[in-house]
Amino acid sequence: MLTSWAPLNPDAPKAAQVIRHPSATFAQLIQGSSTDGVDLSQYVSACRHTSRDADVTFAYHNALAGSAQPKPGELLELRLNGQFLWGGIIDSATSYRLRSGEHSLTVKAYTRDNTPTWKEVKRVTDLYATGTPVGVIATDIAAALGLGATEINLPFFGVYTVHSNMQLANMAAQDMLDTVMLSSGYEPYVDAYGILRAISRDLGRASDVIVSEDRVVSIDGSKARSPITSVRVLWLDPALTLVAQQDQALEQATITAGFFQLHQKQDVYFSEDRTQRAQNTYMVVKQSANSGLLNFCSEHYSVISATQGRIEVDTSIFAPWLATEGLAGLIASSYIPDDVAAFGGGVTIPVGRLVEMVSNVAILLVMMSLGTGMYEVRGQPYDYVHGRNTSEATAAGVPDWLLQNDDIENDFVMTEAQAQAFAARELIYRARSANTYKITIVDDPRIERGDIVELYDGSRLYVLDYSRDLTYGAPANLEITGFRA
Amino acid sequence: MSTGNVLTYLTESQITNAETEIDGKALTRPALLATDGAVLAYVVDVDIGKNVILRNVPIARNNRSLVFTDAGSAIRLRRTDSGRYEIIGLSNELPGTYTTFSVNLEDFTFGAVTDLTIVSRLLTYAELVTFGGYGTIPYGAIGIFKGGALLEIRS
Repeated sequence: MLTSWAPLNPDAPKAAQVIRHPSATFAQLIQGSSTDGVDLSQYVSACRHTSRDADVTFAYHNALAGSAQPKPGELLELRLNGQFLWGGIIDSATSYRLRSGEHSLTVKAYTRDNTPTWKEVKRVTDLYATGTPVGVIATDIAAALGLGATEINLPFFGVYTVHSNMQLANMAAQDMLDTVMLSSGYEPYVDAYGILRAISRDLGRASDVIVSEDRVVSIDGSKARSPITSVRVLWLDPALTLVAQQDQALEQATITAGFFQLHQKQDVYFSEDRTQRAQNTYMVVKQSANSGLLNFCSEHYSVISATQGRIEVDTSIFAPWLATEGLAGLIASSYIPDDVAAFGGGVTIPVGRLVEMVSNVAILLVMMSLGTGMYEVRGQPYDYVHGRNTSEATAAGVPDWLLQNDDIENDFVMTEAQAQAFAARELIYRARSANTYKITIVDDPRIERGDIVELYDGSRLYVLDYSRDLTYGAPANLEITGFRA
Repeated sequence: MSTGNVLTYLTESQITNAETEIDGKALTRPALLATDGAVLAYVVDVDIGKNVILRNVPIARNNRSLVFTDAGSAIRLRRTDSGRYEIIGLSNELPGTYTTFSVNLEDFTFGAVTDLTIVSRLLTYAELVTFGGYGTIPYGAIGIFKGGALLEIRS
């Protein structure tokens, strides 16, 4: 509701002005500081505007020819009784006619949110961290559209981003603002002055304007479409869910162990790119290094991290000890003089040879202490994923043959409770908006889109749009289109 | 069985929207549904967040890692032009909770919230006893629950 206005009196004079602004900005219009205004009111033959656009027809001889003609891109200001009523951007000259020396020119102007800049140009926002208020994102989008601080008037939405990697990409600004505000029950709206605001979609709130019986001119009802009977809100759960695969082979390793090395370590990763996490990992010995003649080593597996394990093979100390002792024995045996041990019939064995053979046996045992083990690490690969939750609101008492569903995918939902409130609010809004009414009342410039107008009998109307005829001599009426709140 | 494409017989699900790829949640371990002697068709039941289980969705060929998909895994499904789904990979997203409630459009009052979330998980020892008698249902059996109520058991 525009509090700067008061309801018009049915019999009050209605002086409308149409002013062209070749170089002013919206901020200057809002602040009333523009100095470039060209009053075209004397040439206006017809003028009508809604909350979204305005159509103005001029009739003139030569006054608006050449550079004096309103051009696309310039701002158009409508004033009522000397007060700023509506501002828009001239989009095009929709018709032109020359007849008997008189020119007729109709221009179309739109509010700034009904231009391709808002509705069609694809944009990408910054990256927002967890806990960013959605109002900050909306303000940034508005700033990217060229709006200054005086042109933005957004409420506190009470909703924060809940995901660590929130970025809106390849969307039109209008779609971005819709997405950002919808979860908290608002929709973006550029008011008659060109200020970005948010209008509530909550139909349970108090009425903004009350219209007495003497101000109602006519009421017409119509059904626009079949009502929505179910709304599903699909939202990304902020909490991650662990999902694991079945137990499977993750990695294989082959390790040769022996006297040459006491401890061997080999790190194994659960995927080639070393990023796959796995749980409940364990090692299967497919072929043990001990499968030779001697049991000379032990084989272990340990978990290092979620993506990595380690296989360790520890060789028993006796193998290198025997190697050392055997070599020492061989060397020592070469220093033993050939004392002879005689056995019976003249057979002799040098004492040193016995020592040498014992040392050789030791060395051969060491050589037997070699083996190759083949190992397989198994486990359950897992990842954390997001769940997309569904919260569905269904109209009570609707027969099966009238079911009609809307799905809303929105990631600006923090909790299940918010999702349910979101779904219920949208169901009520979309179900009620199926039946539209057109009400004509005595002009009340306070009323704008999103307001709830209460009639004299207590019925309430949510305003979707309005239309006002500012042509000279037209009745001071306001046509409101809306649905029963 | 003919030597034609066995997948033809596997899924007859009709999905009304035009999405070609969606995320789902595997509710069963891959099971060998059919073979013609030359090819194997592994299938799983999938929750696609529509409150109804999509049955016997085949796993795309040459996708060994998917054969190890366990119940509860996030998977990616692709829809063919003929309206059938096949599982083409793992996903970063899966259907989560599903709650529903009624709203009175006249007085804006809400009804009770009903949980229809489909969950698939290993049965606990106590559940093995409760649902089948100890020893009847094998260890590692999977229970599929909807809103906490047991729908079926898969081993």
